[in-house]
Amino acid sequence: MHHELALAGYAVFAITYDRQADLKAFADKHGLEYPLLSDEGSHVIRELGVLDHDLEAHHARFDVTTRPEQHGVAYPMTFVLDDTGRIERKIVEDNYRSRYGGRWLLEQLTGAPAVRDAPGAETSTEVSQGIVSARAWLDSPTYFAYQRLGLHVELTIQPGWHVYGPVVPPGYGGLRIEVQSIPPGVRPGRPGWPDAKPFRVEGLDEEFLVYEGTVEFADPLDFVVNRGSGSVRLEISLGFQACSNTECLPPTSLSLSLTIPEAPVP
Amino acid sequence: MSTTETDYGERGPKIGEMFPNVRLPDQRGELVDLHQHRGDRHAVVAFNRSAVW
Repeated sequence: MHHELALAGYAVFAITYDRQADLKAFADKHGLEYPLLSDEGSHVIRELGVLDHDLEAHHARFDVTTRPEQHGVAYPMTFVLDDTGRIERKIVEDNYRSRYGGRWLLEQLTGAPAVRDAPGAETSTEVSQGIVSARAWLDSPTYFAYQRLGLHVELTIQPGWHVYGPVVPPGYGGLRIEVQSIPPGVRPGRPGWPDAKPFRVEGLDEEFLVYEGTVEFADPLDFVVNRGSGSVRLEISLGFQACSNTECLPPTSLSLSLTIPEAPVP
Repeated sequence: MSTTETDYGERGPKIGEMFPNVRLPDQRGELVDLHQHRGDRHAVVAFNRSAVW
């Protein structure tokens, strides 16, 4: 996770209200080299204004009772600093128990897709009618409960063909990626899709936004499942409509499935 | 999942500001001066809830 950021040249810090001994145990257990800063007493957390005042409300959403020692905890947020120390981004999660995992954060920060295939992560492939093939993978081989992972779907479209982007006039099949999970609870976040390109058919007034060639779509998935849920199976339904310069195939869909085991519970 | 009652994006240091200087002990018990440790690298400072729960 964060050590990949360190490899990309970022200085990485984590700050919590935990005692140094607890941070040492955590660092040793997970092999973390970067500084885990101990703000015991939450002085810095308070001074910087990142104290979570709404802990009870957050916990209530998950039917969790707040324990007295949890007061003083920070609201999870991540600051990205430029090389002069100025804040250039703030990442604040709208689901307090989701954490960016895998390569999602690295991609967000560097703007470039990270390593294409996470070692050990399952990839699923499906082909449709010889025109479009799809490949899907997650950016981590295991998940933690409440973690946010990146789902990547790569489409390869035969030359001379294109698929419509997500926004299309009525009657056309726009691109959609839907995910169902077993057990239920995996929720999509806001996707980061590349811009579809304008395409105009000769003789027609309409201009469409389409994808051609090989395109990768990244969708964040929040694994809102309880600890101990075990393996999660994702059923991904990819809907699209492929056209060439001369003909359109009817809208169709491809199914891909991925199974991701739960990381061992500490 | 909807956002919470308060917009936490508004809280804390703002985009464009220098990140405040933070000096705290790390997991090894060594005092870390955040900007000094950062040097001239870009950085990620993650406020997490807890390493314990």
